[in-house]
Amino acid sequence: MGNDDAIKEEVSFTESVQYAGLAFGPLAILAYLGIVLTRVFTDDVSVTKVAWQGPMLLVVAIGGGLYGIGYGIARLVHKGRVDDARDKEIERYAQSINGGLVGLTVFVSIILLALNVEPFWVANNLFLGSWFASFVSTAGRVAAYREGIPS
Amino acid sequence: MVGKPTHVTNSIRQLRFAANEMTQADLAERVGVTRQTIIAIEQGRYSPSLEMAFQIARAFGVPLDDVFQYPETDH
Amino acid sequence: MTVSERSVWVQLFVMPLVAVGYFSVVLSRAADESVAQISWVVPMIWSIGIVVAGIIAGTIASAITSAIAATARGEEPELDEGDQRDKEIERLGNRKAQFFTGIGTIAVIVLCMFRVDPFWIASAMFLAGILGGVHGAIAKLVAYRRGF
Repeated sequence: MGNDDAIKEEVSFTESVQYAGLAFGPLAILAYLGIVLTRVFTDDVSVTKVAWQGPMLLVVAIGGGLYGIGYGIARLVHKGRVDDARDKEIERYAQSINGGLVGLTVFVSIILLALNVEPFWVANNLFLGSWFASFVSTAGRVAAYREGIPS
Repeated sequence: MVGKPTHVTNSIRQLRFAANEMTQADLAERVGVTRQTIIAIEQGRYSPSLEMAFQIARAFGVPLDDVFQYPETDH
Repeated sequence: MTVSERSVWVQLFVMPLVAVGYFSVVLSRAADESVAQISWVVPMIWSIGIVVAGIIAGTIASAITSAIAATARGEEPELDEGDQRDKEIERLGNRKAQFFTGIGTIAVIVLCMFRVDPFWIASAMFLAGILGGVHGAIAKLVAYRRGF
């Protein structure tokens, strides 16, 4: 039979990247929060005085590095198309979700700055807010792949 | 309701079987998309662009109307 | 021109003007006071308010004047809000603007790491937002005039 419907529908390359992101993204955030909160208790400082810069840079560098390597390998190994018009369209849809949430995060940051809070809160608000936006938009991508882009 | 509530239906599956049992992968290759996208179009989970719609029709060598149908509605 | 497109043109003019206004006020204060003392919050609130109000007012004014001119010429005034195409262009422009918001976010986090004054941090974020807005507006107008 000339139709390959019988073949289990594996997901496209870009879609599988999303599942990886959903799985590993939270791990990175948990690592960051874990390190920072541990420091709050062991260094016995107030939350805002904690040395958060190092952990943040570390998590971003290591997380980003691992992601880059993993993605690079997966991309080299993959045969066939990596993305097509539908992938790009879903990407655009996800970007609009991402942009909206990041915008909200930025708005909150401006308010925090106006209230003259410690830079700790501003930076963490942006960091966690951006991460959350990325997570939600990735979930949106998965929904779009499985059920279609909502109109 | 999730997913585009598109009114457009298509006969891509039937056309594939009629075209010497063209596989989804074959069609995808001709149109320049992934197999998953062809599946999504067939199942109504993705509305192709006008360009892609023409390319699909071209792959079968038939007019657009033979591939995609739009219902008669009263609105 | 649909009302949506008018709005984009208005944004293109209002945003840079307000940015110039904000920075002149605030930087002239920096010349007199130490950076930590500068009260930037009120100018920022005014700036954001003027951008929003300016865009709304400008769009309405633009629509009304063109409608009057059209009626004077004996033509139908074009007051369409916008359709599917306008929505798509709007989304396109907003996406393109995100490039600057992204850079702005990273810049702000870095500034926070060095415990820079909130004045600089907020101003940097404001600047990133304005640049993004202008970049997005230009992208939208190109899409309107040349297609996308």
